[in-house]
Amino acid sequence: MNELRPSEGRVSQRDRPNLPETHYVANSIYTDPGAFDAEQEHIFRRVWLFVCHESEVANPGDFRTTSVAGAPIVVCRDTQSTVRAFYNVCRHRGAQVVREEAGSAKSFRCFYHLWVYGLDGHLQAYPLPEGYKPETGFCARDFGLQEVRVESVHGLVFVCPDPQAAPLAEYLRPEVVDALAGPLGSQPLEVFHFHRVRLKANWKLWRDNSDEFYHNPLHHANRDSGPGNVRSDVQPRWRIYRHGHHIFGDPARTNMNYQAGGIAGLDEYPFPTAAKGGSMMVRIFPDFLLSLRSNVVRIDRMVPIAPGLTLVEHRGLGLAGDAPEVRARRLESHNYFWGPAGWNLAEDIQAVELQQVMLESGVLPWGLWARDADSPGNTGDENSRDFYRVWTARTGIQANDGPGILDNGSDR
Amino acid sequence: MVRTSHLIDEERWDEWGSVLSEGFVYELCAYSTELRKEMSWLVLRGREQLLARLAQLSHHHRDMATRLHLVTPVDVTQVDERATAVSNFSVFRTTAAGDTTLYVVGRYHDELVRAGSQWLFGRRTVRLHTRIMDGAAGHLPI
Repeated sequence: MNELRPSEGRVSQRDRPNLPETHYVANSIYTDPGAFDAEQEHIFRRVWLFVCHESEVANPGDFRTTSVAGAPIVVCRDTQSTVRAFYNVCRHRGAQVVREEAGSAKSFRCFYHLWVYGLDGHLQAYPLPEGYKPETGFCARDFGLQEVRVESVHGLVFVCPDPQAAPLAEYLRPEVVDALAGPLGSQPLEVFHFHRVRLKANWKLWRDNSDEFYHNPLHHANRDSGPGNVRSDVQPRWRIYRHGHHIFGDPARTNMNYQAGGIAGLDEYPFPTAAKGGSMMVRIFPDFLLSLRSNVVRIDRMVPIAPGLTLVEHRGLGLAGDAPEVRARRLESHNYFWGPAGWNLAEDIQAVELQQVMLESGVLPWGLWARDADSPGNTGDENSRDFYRVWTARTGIQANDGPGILDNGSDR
Repeated sequence: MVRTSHLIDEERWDEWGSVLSEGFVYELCAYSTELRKEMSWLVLRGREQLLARLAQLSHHHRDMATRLHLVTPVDVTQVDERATAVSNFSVFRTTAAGDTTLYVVGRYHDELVRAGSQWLFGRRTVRLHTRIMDGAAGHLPI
């Protein structure tokens, strides 16, 4: 470990860092309600957001409920096998129409006044129809469920609340679509694991944790990702694409050493186009985090609730129709790292939640993203710098100024 | 069953190990209403694998809070040298500062085998009802 050089008392933690503006952020972006509101309005209501995998609505009539930017959503597969999405709100008096997390239905009936909607969202029936007089202008076809834009790529279902937004493929960029094609698009997949964590932290801290590898060999000591266990001859860098999407690694190349991590064999039965020990990370702005480790895929999405509270959804994916012994190995691999009782997930949650507590104290106005792209062990921060560049462009808030930074007593 | 919970709460792993059969299986599972499927969250096969995992705890950043199990009376069915036991449980988590929250609730399905004068756990299936997890207590057995 390098020795620290004395600062000669010139730089306090409250001083703006003497670094390029891209190399630090104001920590108020993690705690400020105004920043949170700006994110909801200018990011989560404007871009394509992953909501589920197509296998979660595999058959006509299957549905799945979720929320996007605070709005309740139901995703379903209609009678023509088309995936559709609607705001899950009855057009009559605003009750929640579909109350289950998932299921299969021929139609959706609101439990309050029993208005019935088809899988295409149209209002099919409503009790005592004679009470609505045509001369008032009431027309049933005006009161279907409000549809939300939905598109899929390689089985990943995205919705976009903004009717003016560009199509999904344009938003994702060809490089991202192509990178997902092999592992996710060449064979049917299915989700075998789903759980949520009520994370007492800002959603961006979870994203940050997933994006920076600096903590991997340090925080997660003695694991496959620990020092010396990443193959030294493989040093991929984050590939950065427009709109804030990032890709790391190549699943076809072995870049993790499970043997050295003491977990040899945990990488058996690799995903399509992946090698044993191969890995890939895909980050789709703002909250989609995909990690492929040889034989298993993890996808996180985030539902921000408040500046310091996030519901993180964790999914584990395997191949549909896996033989029992193959699924067992994928499950073992998933649970070892990422399951609710896995080693890595719990450690990351601890770190991020403690970060939030400290940041909310306001004693540290600035956080660093100052590591060079060529840092050893893939520990550079160039992807996080790009994330906050896009975040700034979307929210209109300078990430390195942040809201309320002057109120925090900065002497810039 | 209650004594076992005390051993887990107090992290007296060796003593816990002494009431487990050599082939003891520990499984943490839950039913996902979102996927409409059973999920297995952790399977440890064999007492040695369980104890080896617990021995690794000190190498990891672990939850600093203490935990307390509350276990309901047990429904036991005995057939010869084997028995099954079903009980409900809740686990509370208390931070070093003394703040207590409910962590998880669920049901134990235990299989016991007689070994001489002693009953040993042959299998414990922890069926969680809680699926939205608070915080990071995941390293410790429930």
